[in-house]
Amino acid sequence: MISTTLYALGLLCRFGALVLACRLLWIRFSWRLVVVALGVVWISVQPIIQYFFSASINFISTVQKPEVFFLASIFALFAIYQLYEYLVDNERFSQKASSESERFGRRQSILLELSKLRGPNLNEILALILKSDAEELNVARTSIWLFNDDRSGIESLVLYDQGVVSTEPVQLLAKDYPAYFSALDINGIITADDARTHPATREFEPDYLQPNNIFALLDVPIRIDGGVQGIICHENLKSTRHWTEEDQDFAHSIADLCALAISSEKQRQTEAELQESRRHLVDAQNTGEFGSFRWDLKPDLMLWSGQVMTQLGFTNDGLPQTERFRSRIVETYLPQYDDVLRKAFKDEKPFRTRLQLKPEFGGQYFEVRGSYLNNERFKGGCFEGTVHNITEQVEAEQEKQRLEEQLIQSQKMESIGTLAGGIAHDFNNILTPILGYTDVALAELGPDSPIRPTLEEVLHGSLRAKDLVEQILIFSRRWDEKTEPLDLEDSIQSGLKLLRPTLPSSIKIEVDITPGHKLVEADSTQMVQVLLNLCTNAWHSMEPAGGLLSIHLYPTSKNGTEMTAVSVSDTGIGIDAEALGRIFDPFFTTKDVGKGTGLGLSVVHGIISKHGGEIVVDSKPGATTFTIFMPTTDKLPSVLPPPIESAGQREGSILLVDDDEAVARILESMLSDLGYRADVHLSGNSALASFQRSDRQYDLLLTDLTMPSMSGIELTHKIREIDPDLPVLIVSGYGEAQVNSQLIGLEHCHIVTKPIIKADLATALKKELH
Amino acid sequence: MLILVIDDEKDILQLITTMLTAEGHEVIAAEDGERGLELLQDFDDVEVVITDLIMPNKEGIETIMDMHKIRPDLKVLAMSGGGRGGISTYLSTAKNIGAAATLAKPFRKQELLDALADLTKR
Repeated sequence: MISTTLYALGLLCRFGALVLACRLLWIRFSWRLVVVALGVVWISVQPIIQYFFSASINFISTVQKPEVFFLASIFALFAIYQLYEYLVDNERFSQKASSESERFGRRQSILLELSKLRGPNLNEILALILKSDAEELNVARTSIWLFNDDRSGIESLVLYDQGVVSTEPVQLLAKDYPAYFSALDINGIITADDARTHPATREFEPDYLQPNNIFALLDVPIRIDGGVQGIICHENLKSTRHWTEEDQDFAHSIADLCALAISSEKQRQTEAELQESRRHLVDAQNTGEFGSFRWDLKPDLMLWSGQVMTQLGFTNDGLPQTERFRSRIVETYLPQYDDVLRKAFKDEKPFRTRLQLKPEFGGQYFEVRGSYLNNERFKGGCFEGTVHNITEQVEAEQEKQRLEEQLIQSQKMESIGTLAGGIAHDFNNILTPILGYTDVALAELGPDSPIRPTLEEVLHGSLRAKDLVEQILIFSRRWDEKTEPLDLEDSIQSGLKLLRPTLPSSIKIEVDITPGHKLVEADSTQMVQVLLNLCTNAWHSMEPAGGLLSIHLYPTSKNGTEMTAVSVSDTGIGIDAEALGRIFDPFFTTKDVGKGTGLGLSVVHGIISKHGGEIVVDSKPGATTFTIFMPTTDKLPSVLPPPIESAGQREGSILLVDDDEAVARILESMLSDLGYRADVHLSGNSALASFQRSDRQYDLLLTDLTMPSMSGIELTHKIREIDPDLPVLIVSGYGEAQVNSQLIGLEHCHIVTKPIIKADLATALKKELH
Repeated sequence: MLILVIDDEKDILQLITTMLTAEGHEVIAAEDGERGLELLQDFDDVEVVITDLIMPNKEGIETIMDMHKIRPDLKVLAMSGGGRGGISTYLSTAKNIGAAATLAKPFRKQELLDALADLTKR
């Protein structure tokens, strides 16, 4: 029994020693239990073995040595205390254990909660972190400081001071606090239980610690991307403080959270900036109508941006880009494009080339600029560059070119006019002896001479040449333009009068005048020219078979405006579509060299446009119609349109003066046809003498304007001195239009322009005499 | 009748001379206006001058005006093959400054004779 008691006592002593060792070694409470349990098992087992085999009781010897006994007693008492702790004070013990594990758990959950914080404002998140940090570590002030870009100091980002958050930046420079900054560099963490004596922080004492009543500091580093970017500073007021490992652990975790928040904010900012810059690029590209591309050759990959690239056929559908791009380009551009790329690839030099989309894809023009790159960045080689929509530029260039061509054309017209004049002069000089000598020769031949028919052929040819030169001169002539209310029927009649003698008999002419057509404001000579040119073209298109040339004058309207239209139709070969588009271009002709000047229709077009009219053409084989539309006028003509003349005889004696006998004779015969009696004179003096003698037997004076010794005007004045009321009709030739203004002062004086048409003469005479 | 013919084209001088001499006229010829004026001063009995208008040295219009200064009553027949603006412009200018008749080149023999007859009739 005693031995059992002693044994138990020995056991207790050993157990006590074990627990003491654990406590001294600061083994954690929970681990202590395990160590003690293992110790107990070992201690329990060993004496049992000893008890059975040696039966020696250690405690007896223990009791016999007083110092050992003393020690054993202490161990025993400690063991009893421990047992008391376990058994009697169990409640207190478990409370202590739970407060430790609770704090651990709470801190974990705080960190977890804080790590979930998200928001647009970094400072708000950091303030929340600092607040939790301060509360959990039970410090008055916490703050975040970041290094400057040049690491010359730190600047506060957010300061938390007993419930108040400040983001007012405060700066600490390394040169002012060298010990502190070098400690930061070396240790990273600064654990100053007593900040006023700690070597790293005591330099703050006078300026900072003292005034703010700070006694302990815990500064932990904020590491971002492996480098220390800043610190979290904990400041304990009023008393020094031992910063436990747990405190430091927590502070480190808080610093990591801050690092995460800061770096994710930085990333967010970078992403936003990237997005903004990308949006800006796209906007700029779309506004400037350019795109950019990078074409990697290995692997074949195309990166691009800009709407322009979409126009070129680039899309994100994963189909081969280059093939589709090429299929959109006008094929004629491709060989040059390939060539340029090949050259750029070979020489590694920048290239520049122009492309056009096929019409079905918009037909725009693009300029591609780029270069071939083969360096470390682009291992497989790539083309990189821009594409610019240059349609407007190209169109402007084309317009410029067109205008330049037009200018050249008009200069050509100008020079052909000069040339025609010059040629006509020389040609007429050449023709003069040919024609003249032929006449001379013919006069010397007898009427039956076998050479006569041959010479008559020469004569015939010379006369044709003479006509041709006259035609050329018509083209080169410049008119003194003079618009007046005009009946286009007169122009048609005048034109036909000139044309008829030259038309072959195989061409039939049909004129259809629809009544009710209005007058137009136009230059009569030019309108005749227009009709002559259109009729001549119609005639030529029907050669050699001949056909029907029909002219139709009718009233119409275009876009609500009243118009008078003249159409000239033929039954000729027609005009093909290509020629139709260029038909009014100067020098465009389908006629063989030498057969047409290519000026006719452009002259027509020019005249009609100048008069505010329009010309349209409609053609198919066997039916070509040119129609001119002229704006109408309500003004009355200075010369009334010729009435339909009856052949009735008229009373009237006319004093006729023209220095050109041929003209005088023609006029005489016209007057006679119209039923007037004419007294013909070839000079003003002769006419005046006759008038003085006549005692007012004449009813009208018909005089040429330009005559030698006495002009028509002079004659009119002299005769008016005798008979102020005598009607006067003045015949004016071409080129004398400027003289007309001088005649305005003359009353009862009418002007008729050469060439004189019988109808005009009849109208004028009727108006003056009745 | 003594006729002075002025033209820079020798062929035409020759032709007109041939035509006129065949009609029994006497002809003196000049190759430009300058020479024509000299001949006009040398031959008082020149009745008609036939002159071209476009000529080197002294052109026709000026020649006609200078001749009329010497012989105001001189009958002048102006002829021209035209140029820029057409034959009629030149001829009507000539008429305006006092050529009594005009003749457009090329002309038939009869046209020349008619013009001459018209001129001398006045």
